[in-house]
Amino acid sequence: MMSLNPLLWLHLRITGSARTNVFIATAYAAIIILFASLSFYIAALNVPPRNRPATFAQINVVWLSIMTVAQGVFLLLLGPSAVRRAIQRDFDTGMLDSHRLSPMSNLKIVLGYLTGPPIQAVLLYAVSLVFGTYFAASYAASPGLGGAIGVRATLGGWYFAQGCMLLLAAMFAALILLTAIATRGKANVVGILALIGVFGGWFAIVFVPGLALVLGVLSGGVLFGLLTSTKIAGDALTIVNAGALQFTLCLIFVTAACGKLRKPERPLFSLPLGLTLLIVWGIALLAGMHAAPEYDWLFGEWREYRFAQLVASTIAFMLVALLPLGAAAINLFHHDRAASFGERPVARSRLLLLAPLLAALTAVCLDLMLRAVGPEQLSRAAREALLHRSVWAGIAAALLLSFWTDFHCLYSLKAFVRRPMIAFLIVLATLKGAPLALDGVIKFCVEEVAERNWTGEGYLTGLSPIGTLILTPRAGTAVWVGLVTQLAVAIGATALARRARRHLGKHRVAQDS
Amino acid sequence: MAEALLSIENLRVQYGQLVAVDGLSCELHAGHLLGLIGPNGAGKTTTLRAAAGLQPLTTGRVYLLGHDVFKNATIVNQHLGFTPDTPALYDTLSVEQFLWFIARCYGLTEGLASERIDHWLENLWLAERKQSRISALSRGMKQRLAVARTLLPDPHIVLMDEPAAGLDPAGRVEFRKLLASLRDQGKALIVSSHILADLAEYCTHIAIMGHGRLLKYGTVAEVAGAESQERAQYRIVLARRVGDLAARLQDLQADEAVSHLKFDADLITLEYDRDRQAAAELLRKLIAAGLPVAEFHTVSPDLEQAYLRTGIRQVD
Repeated sequence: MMSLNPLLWLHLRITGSARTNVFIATAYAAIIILFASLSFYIAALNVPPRNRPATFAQINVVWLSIMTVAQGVFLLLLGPSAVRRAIQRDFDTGMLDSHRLSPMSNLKIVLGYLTGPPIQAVLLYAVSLVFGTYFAASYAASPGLGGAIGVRATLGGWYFAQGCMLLLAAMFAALILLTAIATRGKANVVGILALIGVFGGWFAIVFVPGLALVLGVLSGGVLFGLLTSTKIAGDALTIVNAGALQFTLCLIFVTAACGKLRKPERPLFSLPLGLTLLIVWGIALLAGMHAAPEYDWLFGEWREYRFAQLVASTIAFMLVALLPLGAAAINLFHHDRAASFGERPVARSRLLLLAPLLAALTAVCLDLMLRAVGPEQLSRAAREALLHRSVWAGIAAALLLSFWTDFHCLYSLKAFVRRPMIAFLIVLATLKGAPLALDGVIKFCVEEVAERNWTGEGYLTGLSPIGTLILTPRAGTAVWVGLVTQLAVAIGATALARRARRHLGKHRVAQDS
Repeated sequence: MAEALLSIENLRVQYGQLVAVDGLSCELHAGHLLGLIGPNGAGKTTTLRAAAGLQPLTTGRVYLLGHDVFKNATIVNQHLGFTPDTPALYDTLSVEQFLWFIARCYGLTEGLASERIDHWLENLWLAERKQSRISALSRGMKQRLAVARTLLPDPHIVLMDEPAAGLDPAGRVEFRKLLASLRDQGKALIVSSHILADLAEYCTHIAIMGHGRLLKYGTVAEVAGAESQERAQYRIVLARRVGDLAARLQDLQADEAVSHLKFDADLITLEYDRDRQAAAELLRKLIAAGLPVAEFHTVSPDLEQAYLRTGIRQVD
């Protein structure tokens, strides 16, 4: 027993006694039995005997779906929430410091948090698994559709789906743990993601097919299709791709959480880990874009928005690229500050300035590949326009200038501002989002309110690198005007960063005097 | 000299533009007990947290047993104990469960853990409450449990932030004995406290902090105002008022070994060599001067006076 992870041992005691947990599991099982029995009883009363097997099979499918949704709630909502709350509690009580002070390895602490707090959620998941197995087997044993698949195949599919869900849950819990460590458990990412899921998640998924792949929407659809019908709704390889991506991302998040645990001053991801994340994310975006045409049940209605999916995928990549870029900027800041006290050689840190170039290079490569695999549903002329050399030059310049500006802004904000991350988000919204929004507002006012023809469309949009991505195949002048402005902003950001660096040097002067 | 158990080099901690600790350096060897004093906001807690590897440094290094605390946490933490100012505990566990949890965190074997838990429950007067839930304990008991948590892994270096806060008078007396015993076992300790009289009793070294800087650092005697370990302050009370006291003390005033001589009617204070031979010599000189000596003793170093002499008031 002494070899059991201490944090798992702890949570087995503080999340309620064994008696409490048995009571919770029994009560949950009783509720399922009661309502399932009731549904079968009502069906038996109202359906003629010859139709009952088919009706019972349908009820089994409904209960199988309910169990799957319940499992999703336990593993993807309750479990990660418990992890976040445990981190917040331990930050507030000082117990996280106690764990940091113990000789437990970072990995041991992280695994303890991943397995200990969600213990009740896992218990309820296990109860659902038992009932889900029963409903799946009953469905498969029933004559008709279920019987055609076979008990073994259905149960195999069911347990395979469980494996996929567990992988997704592990990735999600690791992400929640990482953000909880970074924000002292204050940021309720589960709640934020749930809100996004309710209010805009659907659009995020249909416009960024890579996200649908990573979140298991594609593989979930395939698996559910396999369980309940003989038709495969998509490519079965998607399940493997999604699983591999989720597993890799889970490893990346766990590694990042381990790194952050005892080094709160460090960025969320180290530079190498951030770049690894970026590459994996890029692969996910490409695989998602490539797989999308096969999933008519999800992307069918959005076929004509293929170019929008392409741009949205590149923007999603740019957002994740901010992680390694931010890591490089913060590392450079810490390095320069230490150097200003004579602690480290100044020259060594200059290599970090290559980070924006590296990020831009990977983003350009990704965009190129997205354009190569993405627009097969577009006309030949449209495809050629997307891949035209001048379009490429514009995109490459916009991405480079964007990353260069972000890098130097973050560096300067770290030096001058008390809450650099919040300030950076404001800067990001101003430089990247505001020009598009403003252009939209002006266009609306001129065309809809004043009912005149708006001729300046795209000039404000072009000021943002996102605007460049959107405009590239069409509005030539607006793109070049925008790029010149972006260059001016990048020069301004560089000058500001130089000033911040001189500001750091003043510490040294003050100390010497 | 043996290798320092704890070595802090040019420590600087900055929160944004606010400098919490600036240029602090010190070394602690086995058997050293450093008392950290200073007003609220002087940087004591930050210093202790930085020494424990919990506080990111702007610059500087902290070595425990020769290992960098920020690079070798899992090795260093085997030998380090830290008691924060607010006891960090799990309220829903019992006292005994909590200590078992800590024993697991430190990878103690079942036998050793059981032995040490019993030992510290006994020594910190918690044995009777071992089955109690932590939420039911008083502030003082929680503080003692936090100390038990720190000492359970038998660390070589112990850092304590206001450990006596919340203890009752009897508890404070016992706690002083405990600290002295840890010091005598060869551990290196840093204890921050506002109770200066206590610190003077069990500390070997004192550091006075103000505005993030180390204003005074040395042995208790050095910091308290004695020029060195070899000198002591003597207080002589006369049996009656002596009218020509100044004249009778002329020879002593001329003596090079005497310094800081002050007198008033029936009371004389001065500094002289500390050893017993010198004390006997001084007493002989006083009697030879015809003074009716009623009391003759050395004065304990006065930390409060030393602290006030630094000019520190409350930090804004």
